[in-house]
Amino acid sequence: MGACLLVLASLACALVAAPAGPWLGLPQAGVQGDAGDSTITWASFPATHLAVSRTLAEWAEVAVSISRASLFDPALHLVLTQATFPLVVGAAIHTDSIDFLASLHLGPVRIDAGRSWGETPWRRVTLRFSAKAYLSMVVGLEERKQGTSLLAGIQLRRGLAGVSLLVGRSGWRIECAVVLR
Amino acid sequence: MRRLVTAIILSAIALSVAATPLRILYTNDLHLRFERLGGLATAIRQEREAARGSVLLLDAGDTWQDFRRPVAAVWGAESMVEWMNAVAYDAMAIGNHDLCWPTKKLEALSGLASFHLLCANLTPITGLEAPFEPCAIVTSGSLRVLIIGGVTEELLPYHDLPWLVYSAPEISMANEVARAGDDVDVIIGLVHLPVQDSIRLAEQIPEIDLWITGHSHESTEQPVQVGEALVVQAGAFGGRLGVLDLDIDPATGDVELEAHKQIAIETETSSLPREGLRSLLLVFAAMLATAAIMLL
Repeated sequence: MGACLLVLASLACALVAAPAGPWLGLPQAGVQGDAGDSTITWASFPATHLAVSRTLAEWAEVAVSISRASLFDPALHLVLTQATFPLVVGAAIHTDSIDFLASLHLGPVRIDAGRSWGETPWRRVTLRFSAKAYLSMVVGLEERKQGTSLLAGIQLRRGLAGVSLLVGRSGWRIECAVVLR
Repeated sequence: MRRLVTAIILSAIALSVAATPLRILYTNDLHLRFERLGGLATAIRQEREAARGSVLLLDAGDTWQDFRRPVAAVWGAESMVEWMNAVAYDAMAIGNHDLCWPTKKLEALSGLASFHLLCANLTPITGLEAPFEPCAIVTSGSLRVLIIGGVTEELLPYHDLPWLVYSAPEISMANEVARAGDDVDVIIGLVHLPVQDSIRLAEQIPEIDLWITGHSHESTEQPVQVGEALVVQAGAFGGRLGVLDLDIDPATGDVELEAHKQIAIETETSSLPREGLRSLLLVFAAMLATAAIMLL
């Protein structure tokens, strides 16, 4: 039923010209791709999982994540403000948590901040710098139950696909994602 | 002897008749400095009226955004496009700052502009369209002028534009020159690139007659001559209007520099636009709310 609603809602959305890219390792305020696009993500963190998301509008995206722990873990990503650009504020609603996400777009630099309330709360601030079309560097701070740790990594992109490699106190995090048009 | 003098005079007259005058007015890196637009508009009008022939008004980018001024980071691009329409710009190269606006807004700004928005070395991935063109042919008087856009690879918001592919300007601009063939009288590189980079490009693409540049906020008191080509830039923030008088021979394609000057533009006192202030307050309020949510 949920999948049917997802497909119907997606078909109702018009395609436009310029899609956003995949998040690559760190959820952020915004949606992946454009209305009607799907994103497939494989990530090693917090547990190895595969996620499929569908962008319904430039302010809404639904996602379903599959892992060993949960075969059906739905989420809804919403963009709450666009009028405040360069600051974009969003939220992600999961079955067991709610995330607050904010992205400050400063050209080649972007600051992403977020926190989550739920079973495994976290707070995170990262700075991303893109020196080249294919490469971004990320540094930041992340607070989890275990404490606060430095987060650093790289993201490699080609068009609407990319790979992210991040390292923090909780170990390596690898993510591969592609936006399908 | 008399015949020789007559022949020389007649040849000179024939040459002067054959050459078509073209005045090019140019700006770059205006960065939403509304306090200079009144002075710029006056200078543009005066230089248009004083021109011997047809006039082109061109801008080399970084015109719609500036992070150095809080208001210019959040507001003003639409007003700038309206001003550019009013003073009748013919073309603008897109700059790295202009690309900082979200893609949807860029599309809206491009739709609002009555001038060509140019960039040859950022191309969309297959199946998509960019809100700008690689080049445009503008008819000015009897002249057909090919204007090719270009942008620096520095400080681009690559992560927000994954659907655009950057390519070296020497390749993409040379491709546009080849595509146009011999069907144009003058070729202008309208590039958001520093003077030094443009000199290198001028050496690599000698077919381009004039390079109007930006990004580095330099002023060329006199055009830099690179082979047959000229390279110019008019400072930044609307402090100068460049005026370039060329004589063009459509038969041979020769472009002669007749005169060049840069007019200093005075700053007028201007109050902060109410709409801009409102946008800024909204963004500050959202930032404060974000900080509170993150910290509490």
